[in-house]
Amino acid sequence: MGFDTSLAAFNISASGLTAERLRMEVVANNIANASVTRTPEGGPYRRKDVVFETALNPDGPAQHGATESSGLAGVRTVAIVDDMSELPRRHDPGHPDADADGFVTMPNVNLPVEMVNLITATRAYEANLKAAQSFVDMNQQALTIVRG
Amino acid sequence: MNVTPAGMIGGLPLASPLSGAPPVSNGGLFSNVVERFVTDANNQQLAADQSVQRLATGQSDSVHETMLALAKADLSLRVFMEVRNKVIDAYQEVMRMQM
Repeated sequence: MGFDTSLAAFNISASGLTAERLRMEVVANNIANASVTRTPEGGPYRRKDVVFETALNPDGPAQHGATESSGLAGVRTVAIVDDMSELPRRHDPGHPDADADGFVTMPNVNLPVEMVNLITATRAYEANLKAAQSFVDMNQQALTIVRG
Repeated sequence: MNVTPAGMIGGLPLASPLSGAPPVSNGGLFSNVVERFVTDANNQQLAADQSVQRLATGQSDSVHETMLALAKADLSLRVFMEVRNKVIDAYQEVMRMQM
Protein backbone atom coordinates (compact mmCIF):
# COMPACT_ATOMS: atom_id res chain seq x y z
CA MET A 1 0.00 0.00 0.00
CA GLY A 2 1.07 3.54 -0.57
CA PHE A 3 4.72 4.18 -1.26
CA ASP A 4 5.50 0.51 -0.88
CA THR A 5 3.82 -0.16 -4.21
CA SER A 6 5.63 2.55 -6.11
CA LEU A 7 8.98 1.69 -4.54
CA ALA A 8 8.68 -2.06 -5.12
CA ALA A 9 11.49 -1.92 -7.71
CA PHE A 10 13.89 -1.30 -4.84
CA ASN A 11 13.12 -4.71 -3.41
CA ILE A 12 14.04 -6.32 -6.72
CA SER A 13 17.42 -4.58 -6.73
CA ALA A 14 17.88 -5.41 -3.06
CA SER A 15 17.35 -9.11 -3.72
CA GLY A 16 19.89 -8.96 -6.55
CA LEU A 17 22.40 -7.20 -4.31
CA THR A 18 21.87 -9.76 -1.55
CA ALA A 19 22.31 -12.62 -4.00
CA GLU A 20 25.53 -11.22 -5.46
CA ARG A 21 26.88 -10.56 -2.00
CA LEU A 22 26.23 -14.17 -1.06
CA ARG A 23 28.04 -15.27 -4.23
CA MET A 24 30.96 -13.07 -3.20
CA GLU A 25 30.98 -14.71 0.24
CA VAL A 26 30.99 -18.17 -1.32
CA VAL A 27 33.89 -17.21 -3.61
CA ALA A 28 35.79 -15.75 -0.67
CA ASN A 29 35.15 -18.96 1.26
CA ASN A 30 36.47 -21.01 -1.66
CA ILE A 31 39.64 -18.92 -1.82
CA ALA A 32 40.13 -19.09 1.94
CA ASN A 33 39.78 -22.87 1.88
CA ALA A 34 41.90 -23.39 -1.23
CA SER A 35 44.33 -25.70 0.56
CA VAL A 36 42.19 -27.14 3.35
CA THR A 37 42.56 -30.91 3.66
CA ARG A 38 40.32 -31.45 6.68
CA THR A 39 36.61 -30.74 6.91
CA PRO A 40 33.93 -31.84 9.42
CA GLU A 41 32.52 -34.17 6.73
CA GLY A 42 35.97 -35.66 6.27
CA GLY A 43 38.28 -35.30 3.31
CA PRO A 44 39.41 -32.06 1.72
CA TYR A 45 37.26 -28.99 1.17
CA ARG A 46 34.99 -29.09 -1.85
CA ARG A 47 34.46 -25.96 -3.88
CA LYS A 48 31.04 -24.39 -3.24
CA ASP A 49 28.74 -22.77 -5.72
CA VAL A 50 25.43 -20.90 -5.35
CA VAL A 51 22.21 -21.69 -7.17
CA PHE A 52 19.78 -18.84 -7.74
CA GLU A 53 16.19 -18.93 -8.89
CA THR A 54 13.87 -16.18 -9.96
CA ALA A 55 11.51 -15.09 -7.23
CA LEU A 56 7.93 -14.54 -8.26
CA ASN A 57 5.34 -12.95 -6.07
CA PRO A 58 1.95 -13.07 -7.82
CA ASP A 59 0.27 -11.76 -4.66
CA GLY A 60 2.42 -8.64 -4.66
CA PRO A 61 1.07 -5.13 -5.21
CA ALA A 62 -0.33 -4.47 -8.66
CA GLN A 63 0.91 -1.53 -10.65
CA HIS A 64 -1.53 1.25 -11.38
CA GLY A 65 -3.88 0.27 -14.18
CA ALA A 66 -3.02 -3.42 -13.96
CA THR A 67 -5.49 -5.90 -12.55
CA GLU A 68 -2.85 -8.17 -11.11
CA SER A 69 0.70 -7.99 -9.91
CA SER A 70 3.55 -8.28 -12.39
CA GLY A 71 4.87 -10.93 -10.01
CA LEU A 72 8.43 -9.67 -10.41
CA ALA A 73 10.19 -10.08 -7.11
CA GLY A 74 13.86 -10.38 -7.99
CA VAL A 75 16.04 -13.34 -7.25
CA ARG A 76 16.21 -15.92 -4.49
CA THR A 77 18.97 -18.23 -3.37
CA VAL A 78 18.00 -21.89 -3.62
CA ALA A 79 21.06 -23.57 -2.20
CA ILE A 80 24.80 -23.58 -1.82
CA VAL A 81 25.98 -26.74 -3.55
CA ASP A 82 29.25 -28.63 -3.55
CA ASP A 83 31.25 -28.87 -6.74
CA MET A 84 31.60 -32.65 -7.16
CA SER A 85 34.38 -32.49 -9.74
CA GLU A 86 37.47 -34.61 -9.21
CA LEU A 87 39.79 -33.61 -6.39
CA PRO A 88 43.40 -33.18 -7.47
CA ARG A 89 46.08 -35.30 -5.78
CA ARG A 90 49.46 -33.87 -4.93
CA HIS A 91 52.57 -35.80 -4.03
CA ASP A 92 53.63 -34.65 -0.57
CA PRO A 93 54.73 -37.57 1.63
CA GLY A 94 55.51 -35.30 4.58
CA HIS A 95 51.95 -34.07 4.85
CA PRO A 96 49.99 -35.49 7.82
CA ASP A 97 47.01 -36.19 5.56
CA ALA A 98 49.04 -38.05 2.93
CA ASP A 99 47.87 -41.55 2.03
CA ALA A 100 50.06 -44.68 1.91
CA ASP A 101 51.46 -43.69 -1.50
CA GLY A 102 52.40 -40.23 -0.25
CA PHE A 103 49.62 -38.39 -2.11
CA VAL A 104 47.47 -35.69 -0.52
CA THR A 105 43.99 -35.07 -1.90
CA MET A 106 43.61 -31.32 -2.28
CA PRO A 107 40.45 -29.19 -2.62
CA ASN A 108 39.13 -28.74 -6.16
CA VAL A 109 39.44 -24.97 -5.84
CA ASN A 110 40.98 -23.34 -8.87
CA LEU A 111 42.21 -19.85 -8.00
CA PRO A 112 41.96 -18.33 -11.52
CA VAL A 113 38.37 -19.59 -11.74
CA GLU A 114 37.58 -18.09 -8.35
CA MET A 115 39.11 -14.78 -9.38
CA VAL A 116 36.92 -14.68 -12.47
CA ASN A 117 33.87 -15.49 -10.33
CA LEU A 118 34.86 -12.75 -7.92
CA ILE A 119 35.03 -10.20 -10.72
CA THR A 120 31.73 -11.45 -12.14
CA ALA A 121 30.04 -11.11 -8.75
CA THR A 122 31.51 -7.63 -8.25
CA ARG A 123 30.32 -6.44 -11.64
CA ALA A 124 26.88 -8.00 -11.14
CA TYR A 125 26.64 -6.24 -7.77
CA GLU A 126 27.51 -2.97 -9.48
CA ALA A 127 24.89 -3.60 -12.14
CA ASN A 128 22.20 -4.15 -9.51
CA LEU A 129 23.34 -1.02 -7.70
CA LYS A 130 23.12 0.93 -10.94
CA ALA A 131 19.57 -0.32 -11.46
CA ALA A 132 18.60 0.91 -7.99
CA GLN A 133 20.30 4.27 -8.59
CA SER A 134 18.55 4.67 -11.93
CA PHE A 135 15.26 4.06 -10.18
CA VAL A 136 16.05 6.83 -7.67
CA ASP A 137 17.02 9.13 -10.54
CA MET A 138 13.82 8.34 -12.42
CA ASN A 139 11.72 9.16 -9.38
CA GLN A 140 13.57 12.38 -8.73
CA GLN A 141 13.19 13.40 -12.34
CA ALA A 142 9.48 12.68 -12.14
CA LEU A 143 9.29 15.02 -9.16
CA THR A 144 10.55 17.90 -11.28
CA ILE A 145 7.29 17.74 -13.28
CA VAL A 146 5.47 19.77 -10.65
CA ARG A 147 8.28 22.28 -10.15
CA GLY A 148 7.26 25.36 -12.01
CA MET B 1 11.70 10.24 13.97
CA ASN B 2 8.01 10.18 14.65
CA VAL B 3 5.89 12.54 12.63
CA THR B 4 2.44 12.96 14.08
CA PRO B 5 -0.29 13.43 11.49
CA ALA B 6 -1.43 16.98 11.02
CA GLY B 7 -4.81 16.95 12.71
CA MET B 8 -5.71 20.58 12.02
CA ILE B 9 -6.19 20.17 8.29
CA GLY B 10 -9.52 18.44 8.78
CA GLY B 11 -10.91 21.75 10.05
CA LEU B 12 -9.99 23.72 6.95
CA PRO B 13 -12.80 24.66 4.57
CA LEU B 14 -10.87 22.74 1.90
CA ALA B 15 -12.27 19.57 3.38
CA SER B 16 -15.94 20.44 3.21
CA PRO B 17 -17.76 19.54 0.00
CA LEU B 18 -19.18 22.39 -2.04
CA SER B 19 -22.91 22.93 -1.73
CA GLY B 20 -24.77 21.39 -4.63
CA ALA B 21 -21.88 19.13 -5.49
CA PRO B 22 -22.36 15.41 -4.93
CA PRO B 23 -21.27 14.46 -1.41
CA VAL B 24 -17.64 13.45 -1.32
CA SER B 25 -17.05 10.00 0.13
CA ASN B 26 -14.97 9.92 3.28
CA GLY B 27 -11.93 8.42 1.52
CA GLY B 28 -11.71 11.31 -0.91
CA LEU B 29 -11.40 14.10 1.64
CA PHE B 30 -8.26 16.11 1.19
CA SER B 31 -7.43 15.72 4.86
CA ASN B 32 -7.58 11.93 4.50
CA VAL B 33 -5.31 12.06 1.49
CA VAL B 34 -2.81 14.18 3.39
CA GLU B 35 -3.05 11.93 6.40
CA ARG B 36 -2.37 8.86 4.30
CA PHE B 37 0.57 10.61 2.67
CA VAL B 38 2.02 11.53 6.06
CA THR B 39 1.45 8.05 7.46
CA ASP B 40 3.07 6.45 4.42
CA ALA B 41 6.09 8.75 4.50
CA ASN B 42 6.34 8.23 8.24
CA ASN B 43 6.26 4.47 7.86
CA GLN B 44 9.12 4.64 5.38
CA GLN B 45 11.09 6.80 7.81
CA LEU B 46 10.44 4.35 10.63
CA ALA B 47 11.49 1.43 8.44
CA ALA B 48 14.71 3.25 7.53
CA ASP B 49 15.27 4.06 11.20
CA GLN B 50 14.89 0.42 12.21
CA SER B 51 17.13 -0.67 9.37
CA VAL B 52 19.90 1.68 10.49
CA GLN B 53 19.47 0.49 14.06
CA ARG B 54 19.70 -3.16 13.01
CA LEU B 55 22.85 -2.42 11.05
CA ALA B 56 24.42 -0.47 13.91
CA THR B 57 23.64 -3.15 16.48
CA GLY B 58 24.86 -5.96 14.27
CA GLN B 59 21.50 -7.67 13.79
CA SER B 60 21.77 -7.09 10.07
CA ASP B 61 24.85 -7.27 7.88
CA SER B 62 23.55 -5.92 4.60
CA VAL B 63 24.58 -2.33 4.06
CA HIS B 64 22.69 -2.16 0.78
CA GLU B 65 19.33 -2.97 2.36
CA THR B 66 19.78 -0.15 4.86
CA MET B 67 20.81 2.25 2.12
CA LEU B 68 17.82 1.24 -0.01
CA ALA B 69 15.50 1.77 2.97
CA LEU B 70 17.03 5.23 3.40
CA ALA B 71 16.56 5.94 -0.30
CA LYS B 72 12.93 4.85 -0.04
CA ALA B 73 12.35 7.11 2.96
CA ASP B 74 14.07 9.99 1.18
CA LEU B 75 12.03 9.54 -1.99
CA SER B 76 8.70 9.26 -0.19
CA LEU B 77 9.45 12.38 1.83
CA ARG B 78 10.43 14.23 -1.32
CA VAL B 79 7.21 13.21 -3.03
CA PHE B 80 5.26 14.42 -0.02
CA MET B 81 7.16 17.72 0.05
CA GLU B 82 6.54 18.32 -3.66
CA VAL B 83 2.83 17.73 -3.20
CA ARG B 84 2.79 20.04 -0.16
CA ASN B 85 4.66 22.75 -2.08
CA LYS B 86 2.23 22.50 -4.95
CA VAL B 87 -0.79 22.68 -2.64
CA ILE B 88 0.63 25.71 -0.82
CA ASP B 89 1.41 27.38 -4.15
CA ALA B 90 -2.20 26.85 -5.21
CA TYR B 91 -3.46 28.21 -1.90
CA GLN B 92 -1.30 31.32 -2.17
CA GLU B 93 -2.40 31.81 -5.74
CA VAL B 94 -6.02 31.77 -4.60
CA MET B 95 -5.29 34.17 -1.73
CA ARG B 96 -3.78 36.67 -4.17
CA MET B 97 -7.04 36.79 -6.10
CA GLN B 98 -8.50 40.31 -6.40
CA MET B 99 -11.99 40.66 -4.97
